[in-house]
Amino acid sequence: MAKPFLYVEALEKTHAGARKQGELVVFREVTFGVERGEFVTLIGHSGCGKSTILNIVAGLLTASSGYVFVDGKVVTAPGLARGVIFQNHNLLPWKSALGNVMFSVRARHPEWSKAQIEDHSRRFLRLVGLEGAEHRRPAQLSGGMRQRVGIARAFAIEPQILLMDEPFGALDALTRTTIQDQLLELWQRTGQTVLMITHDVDEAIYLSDRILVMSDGPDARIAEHVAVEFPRPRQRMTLLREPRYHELRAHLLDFLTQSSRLSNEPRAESISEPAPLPFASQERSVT
Amino acid sequence: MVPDRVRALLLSLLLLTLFCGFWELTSRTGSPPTAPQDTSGLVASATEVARLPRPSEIAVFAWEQLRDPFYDRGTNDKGIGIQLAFSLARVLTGYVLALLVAVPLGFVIGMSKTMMAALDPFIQILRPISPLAWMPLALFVIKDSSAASIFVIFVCSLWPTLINTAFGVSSVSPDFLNVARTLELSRLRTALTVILPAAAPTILTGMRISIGISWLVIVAAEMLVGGTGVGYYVWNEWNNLDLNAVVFSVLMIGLVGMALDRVLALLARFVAYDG
Repeated sequence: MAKPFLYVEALEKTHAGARKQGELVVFREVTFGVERGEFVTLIGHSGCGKSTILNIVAGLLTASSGYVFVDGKVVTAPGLARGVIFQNHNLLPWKSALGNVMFSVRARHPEWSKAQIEDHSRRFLRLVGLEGAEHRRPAQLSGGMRQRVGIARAFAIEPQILLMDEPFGALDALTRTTIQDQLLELWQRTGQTVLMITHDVDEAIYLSDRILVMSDGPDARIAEHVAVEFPRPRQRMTLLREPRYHELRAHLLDFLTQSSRLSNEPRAESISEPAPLPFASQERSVT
Repeated sequence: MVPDRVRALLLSLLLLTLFCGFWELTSRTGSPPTAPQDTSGLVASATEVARLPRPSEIAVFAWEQLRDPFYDRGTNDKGIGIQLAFSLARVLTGYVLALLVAVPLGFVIGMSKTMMAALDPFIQILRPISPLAWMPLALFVIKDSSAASIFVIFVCSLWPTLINTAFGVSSVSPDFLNVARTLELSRLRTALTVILPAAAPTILTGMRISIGISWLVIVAAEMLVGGTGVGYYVWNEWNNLDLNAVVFSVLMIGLVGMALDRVLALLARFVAYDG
């Protein structure tokens, strides 16, 4: 049986509990696959460990048990095969926008000439609409522009799979929609395989082919796989007029709010830290 | 409206004028105390209260000195330029040697918790030692007064740079290191292309403190070992009771110290970044 391109198998993360309280299970039995060229979103509340899963897939963190396979090979360390778009952009502040992209491209293609590296990097900055801002440093860019540099940087190394950790989390709503559109365009153009983390239901539906819904942590699981079958290229406005969009949205929101209540029960008997209860209602009012 | 900078400058000039004017007027007239050459001078100096030279006298002296700063009329009569050059050469030699040790060692300490813990007791004990306390040992081991003062400069400029480098390296954001890891950069490349530029502002701060301390210490060191240098010059002119020269050289020490600090501040601006 052929495994999917990215295959995550029985991933589990536990923290040693404080003062002999036993182990705290962040999540367990996390198994899913992402096919080549697919855009998959992992959605869940803060604290369910979704960022941890992404970091394990990236190789930046290690799992307590379970495996991550990319193209049939086990992931043990971070590498160029998996590009990461970080939540807080992680640009090097002493380099310009272009310098940041070139830095990554040079690491990916050490054999390229400087002109080749620069051409390639400029092309990707142009694709995210940053022409003319190449020589500005991150501190001189707006939050949205910084995140776009981060996106250009990750796409420019053309990794086997792109991992995004709430890439739009720190942006205002208007900037977010613009950059989501740019991201979609870039994704369609390059045919990248993408695994994205988010807590925004609308973002997940608009962007992904498939949504993995996580239950609340601790002891989180993947509770549901939801296929998003709207045809591409998608239009935000036409999507909003689809009754099925609203059905899906209501279903996801319902699940996310339900699941936080359900997972309260086992939490009562397992000794662990108090649940961040107010968060659930806060989340509902946002989306 | 007068711009703030101009107003500050005018105020500075006003304060300087008031200070010098007060000094000028409160000093009694008459010749400043100089090394008396005859017996009548000795008698006079016994009855006359010694006083500081007036600013105008110092200005005249300074003008004469600065017109020919590099004259050399024997061991005990060299121009201020030559003396400052001797001191600067010692400071820069000791300082550069210290950097060559402090920056790489600071990197090692900053990158490894074990090294940090292992070397910390030594640093904590050695750091508070007054650099001049090393002088007897240095003279005994090196047997050369000039090299001994270079060693003292080396010791005193080592610590601020070492500690700042270690601190800067150890506090590089893990986010930047994660970027390096996802790009599969080697340890050496990570150190040179990510950690070094990230820690550069902190390292430069250490280097700036180091050069300041070096310039403070060289004067004292040269007073101890004598021979050449601006510290020796100050002490020698005090022994000659030439207070014009003493005040003048004190001012020159301040000016050179300021210049050294300015150079390091410029370098710091070159590696600075926001965020």
